[in-house]
Amino acid sequence: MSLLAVSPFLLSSVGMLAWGAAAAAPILIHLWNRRRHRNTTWAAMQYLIAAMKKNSRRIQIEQLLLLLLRCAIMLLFALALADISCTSGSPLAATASLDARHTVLVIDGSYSMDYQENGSSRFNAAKTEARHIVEATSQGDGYTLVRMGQPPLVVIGDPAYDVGDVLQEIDAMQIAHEGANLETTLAEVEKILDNAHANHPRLTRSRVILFSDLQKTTWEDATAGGAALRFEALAKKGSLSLIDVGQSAAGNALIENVQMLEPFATLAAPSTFEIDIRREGDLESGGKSVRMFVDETLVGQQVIDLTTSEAASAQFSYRFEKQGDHAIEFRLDEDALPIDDHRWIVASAKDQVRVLCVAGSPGAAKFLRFALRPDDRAEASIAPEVVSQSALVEIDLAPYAAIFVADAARFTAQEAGVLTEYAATGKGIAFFLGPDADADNYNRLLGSQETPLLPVTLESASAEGDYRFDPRSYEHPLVEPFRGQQGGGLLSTPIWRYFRVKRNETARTALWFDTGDPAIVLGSAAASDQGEATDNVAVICLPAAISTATRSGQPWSALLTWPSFPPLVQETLAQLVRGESDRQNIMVGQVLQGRLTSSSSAVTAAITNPRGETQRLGRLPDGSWAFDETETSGVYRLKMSDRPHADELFAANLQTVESDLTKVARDDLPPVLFQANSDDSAYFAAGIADGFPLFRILLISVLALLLLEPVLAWKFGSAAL
Amino acid sequence: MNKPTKRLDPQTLAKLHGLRLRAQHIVEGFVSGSHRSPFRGFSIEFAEHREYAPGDDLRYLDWKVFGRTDKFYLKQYEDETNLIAYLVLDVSESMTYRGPTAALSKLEYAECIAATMAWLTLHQQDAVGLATFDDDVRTLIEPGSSPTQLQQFFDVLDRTEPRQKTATGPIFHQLAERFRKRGVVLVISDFFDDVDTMIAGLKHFRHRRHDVVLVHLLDPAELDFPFQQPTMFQGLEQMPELLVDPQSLRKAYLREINAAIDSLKAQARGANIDYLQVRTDQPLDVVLNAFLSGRMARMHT
Repeated sequence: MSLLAVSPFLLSSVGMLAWGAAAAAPILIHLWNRRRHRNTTWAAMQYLIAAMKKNSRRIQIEQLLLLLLRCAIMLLFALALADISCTSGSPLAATASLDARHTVLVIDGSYSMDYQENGSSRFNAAKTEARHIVEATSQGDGYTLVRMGQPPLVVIGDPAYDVGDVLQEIDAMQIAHEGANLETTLAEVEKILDNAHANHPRLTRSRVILFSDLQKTTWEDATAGGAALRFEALAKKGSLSLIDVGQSAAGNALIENVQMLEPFATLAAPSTFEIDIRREGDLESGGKSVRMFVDETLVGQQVIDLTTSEAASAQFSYRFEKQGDHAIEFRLDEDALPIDDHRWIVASAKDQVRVLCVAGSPGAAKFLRFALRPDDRAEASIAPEVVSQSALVEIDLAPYAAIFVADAARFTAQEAGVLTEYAATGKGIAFFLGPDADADNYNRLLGSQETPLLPVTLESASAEGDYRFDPRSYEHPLVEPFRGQQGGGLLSTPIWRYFRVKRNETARTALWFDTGDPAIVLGSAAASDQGEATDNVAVICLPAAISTATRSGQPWSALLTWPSFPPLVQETLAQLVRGESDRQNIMVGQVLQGRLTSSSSAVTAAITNPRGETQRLGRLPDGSWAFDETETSGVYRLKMSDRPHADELFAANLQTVESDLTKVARDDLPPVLFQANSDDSAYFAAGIADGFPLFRILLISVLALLLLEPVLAWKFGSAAL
Repeated sequence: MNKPTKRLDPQTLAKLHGLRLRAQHIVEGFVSGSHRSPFRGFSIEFAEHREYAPGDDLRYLDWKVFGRTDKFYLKQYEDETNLIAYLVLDVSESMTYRGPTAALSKLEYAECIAATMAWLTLHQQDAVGLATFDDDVRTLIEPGSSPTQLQQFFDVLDRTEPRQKTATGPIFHQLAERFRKRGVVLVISDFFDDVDTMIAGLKHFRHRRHDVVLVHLLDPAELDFPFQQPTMFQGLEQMPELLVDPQSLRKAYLREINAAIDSLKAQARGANIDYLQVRTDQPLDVVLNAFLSGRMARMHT
């Protein structure tokens, strides 16, 4: 759309003025008709001449009048198409009264709006109010529609003039299973107003109507910071009003969190799930029943008393009987806000967790194997398998949940490629650095920018000394179990030498040496691509075998024989495989992603959301897929065409901050919200109302002229030009 | 009035070539319907009585004789067989006009009327003369009642070449001087001229005690002006051409021509001249019947 200002007029679509050339059509037709007249001889010529002499002037005036009228029809129509408006202050503007209004409807879509009362939710009440406003519309008014959320969703961005369309969009709106960000929503509204100002000059007045329950989390910063500034900016561009659809003093119980205590679920041992339940406000009854469903089958139930405390926990134990992904749902007795009474977790149950131990030299993985499986019971959940380094490129790595590389001196490019590809699938790799580790080889093949597998840059072996581990404040989950466990021997582990490394920026150190150098560093193999991907590569700066490759014959450490070694390896494994579980259990709004198992483009994937809507997934160039429409909590089911009977499951859960139904007080809201409710006509937008639309006046004129033309033509006795 | 027959319709006559053929066609069709001479009873000089015979016109019964003698006698008039009919035919260029819906031009139609009148008059043993004019008197055939007279008429009419016309008034004066014996002067024209001048000329005929009948021939297009599209009207008789939007000018034109017709009609009535307006799309027998019934009515008043 192009604008042209010719004082005192403003043309919104200058290109449409080209239709004005059509005004020449009546003249051309007139001339053409005169050219193509018929000839005839005529006897009674004196009477014709006499008639002509007496009437020629009248006929000329009539024909000119008709011609002007026909040209005017085309010209006025072209001007109407060009969306002409006259600027305020002009005499035309003073007489024009056919102005139209732009209304921005902002409906709070945060999940607290799902609060039910009398069988209807706050969200539905807001939609009903919005419908009433739209139904009471005047001809020519425009509407835009925004769902307040995190992020906000612009449903109608360009003003819509068809009431039916707007009502249809309002009816189709669904609540988001997430919170709402007031500031970003207001920023979006401001953009919409600016856009309407630029492209729809006939919308001379603007108003923004917010429908919300005024839930504290969303509104507590309304009078401070960015949101307050946004409100001030909006108040200058139009009137603001707020329709409160929330009820006061509402109590609510919710499931705040669910986690599986074991790092992985196996068929060999029961898995334990811990759920955290919280109470907001006062409940009618303190006892709440929590039920556990596995694949939609009820498997357990407990009653939790919330009368005395605001929070409580409960544990459920369940032994999976089948391998594969299982959707576990916990349901609390439903209250007025049912949306947070459910929580899901997806567990991928395996017969045993197979771990590949790659021995960099013969016997290098002996202690590692022992640490992963301290006893040889058949029902042990971890099944380590030791292979030599040369076998790495020969075997299928897919069945293994993690790989431990023990004291490899160097890698071939092929081996490095295999490991990089394996880590890219999200599975874990741990490297024990032995005295023979070729730092240059490691850095070049596994730590370069092209293959950023290692979270560290290898430097060299430290000088011989007497070192100890330093867990600092046990903050990292890997060492957190050692907190208060002096018998674990972590602090007393003797270390005489270690491999010095430099941590990458994105990596996290779980354990340090008392020199301050990192002892265990974890990072994500694809951190640069996936942002919040969990750590799946660990570097342990000590050998996995008792090394004597020093001049003094002194081993590097006594870790392998120390009681701290098995739990340290087990916790490292837990951290590495945690990534798989984290990938399958996300928060609403986060991105689901994975890799297609086959490189064939014939393999397709489709994901079904909790509402039962299925969407086909596109294959990204690297063979991965991503799905970001996770705005509904529940279980997402991924089907791949090459594995029809093995659905991959994902759980998306609520951020529970919206479960606190406390409302903000009116005093904590911006005053501009309460200045514009009664008389909309008083709220001309100072920055926007700078023009009055003339297109409707022009169209009415065109219609009148179209009706007048045949009447005049008949009256003048001239239907033809 | 007899019902018009398709046989005498101008559309049918237009398909016949040659004036003789057309005249014969009209006469046969018309006479078989009426058995009436067009000029019978014109004279007012009483000659003698004749005994009634079946088939005689009862209007000529002498009721006074019947009252006295109780016998039927008819009145016979002296000049009844010596009637002279002067046919004055306008052959100017304006008479050649034929509108989009007419089958015959005004001239062709006028020739048909003239030939038919001549045929019927001669058939009654009366004398008939012919004068044609445009800007001057073109032809003048002295009245005669011989059978060859009719052939002479046809030859003259067939040779007629229309020319431009100036003023008809002087021509009527000229003809009035030349028609010495009293008779009926039948002027067939479109009368597209100054009415006062024409009437002055026609009054000269009346002054010479001629009985004058005007047959005003007009094309349907001249009376209805049915044109729709812009038209270039090319005037006949040296009139200029004019590009006109017919729809916007129709009312004004009709006002003008009707005013002229009304004026001619009124002045003719004032001069005791019979007036008969004829459209060239009218069947000939309708015209002849109208003419003759008009004549008869006039004779009995």
